Amino acid sequence: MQKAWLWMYHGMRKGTRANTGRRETFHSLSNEGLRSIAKTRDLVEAALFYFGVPAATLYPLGFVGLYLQLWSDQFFPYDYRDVYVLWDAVAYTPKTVVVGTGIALLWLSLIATSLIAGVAWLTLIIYRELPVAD
Amino acid sequence: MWGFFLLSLLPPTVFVAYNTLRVNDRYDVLCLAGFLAFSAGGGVLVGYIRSRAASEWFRPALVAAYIAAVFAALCIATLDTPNVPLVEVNASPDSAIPDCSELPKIDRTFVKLSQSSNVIYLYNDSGLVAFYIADIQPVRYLPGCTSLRTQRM
Repeated sequence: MQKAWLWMYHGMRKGTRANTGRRETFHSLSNEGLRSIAKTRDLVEAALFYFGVPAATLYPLGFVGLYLQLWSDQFFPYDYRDVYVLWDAVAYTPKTVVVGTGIALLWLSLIATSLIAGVAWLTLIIYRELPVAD
Repeated sequence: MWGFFLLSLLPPTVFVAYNTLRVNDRYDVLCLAGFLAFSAGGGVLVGYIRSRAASEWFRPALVAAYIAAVFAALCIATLDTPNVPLVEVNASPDSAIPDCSELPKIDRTFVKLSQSSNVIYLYNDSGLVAFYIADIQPVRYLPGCTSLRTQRM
């Protein structure tokens, strides 16, 4: 707590214009401080969003992918009605294989993203070419 | 920006599609159609939001695009077999390794799921089975036969 007060005090002293001690300079400083805190928070949020979400979904994604692959494997004699057998089979599979499947699926989803980007680009062009109704 | 992104990702897309896609029956065609539908659906959604310049909707649009991409990947993943090895149990050490021109004899050929200290989990056409490792020694791995498993009977 004391450290926080000291930090605020030093920040105020640094921020005053030629140390005149006017109140408005203190306000501008605190706005700057808030802005920098907000920027850091934005960066952390963006990192969590772009890396955290794919990392967190890696194992569940691999699990579902492996489940579907086992289901469609001609060597695997059970079908969609044998949910518990399929679940058990995926549960026996080593975690490294499941995560590997998840990584392969992320790679495939990156490829799907290229298609998505292409379609989005075309949609954007077509939408801009359309006449605007008044 | 979008054009550059598209151009940079198109060559690996073509390469992976050429090497991994094996369409054998109508289920595979359905999966491929699902991949294209999810990709196009996500793309139309993102393009529409970008064209309306609604910046506050950009992040939800990205989430929607990610979900669409994941579903598209799941659709195409079903065209492939699980990344687990094919093994032959009670293999005679002197016999030659099969050349994989066709799937080896089904009764002693299994797909290996996992292995603990004394039990091994396998499956083949007869079902999902667990064996004591001591009972099925030696176990031989069959390299290069994985692609045969994608061909449906």
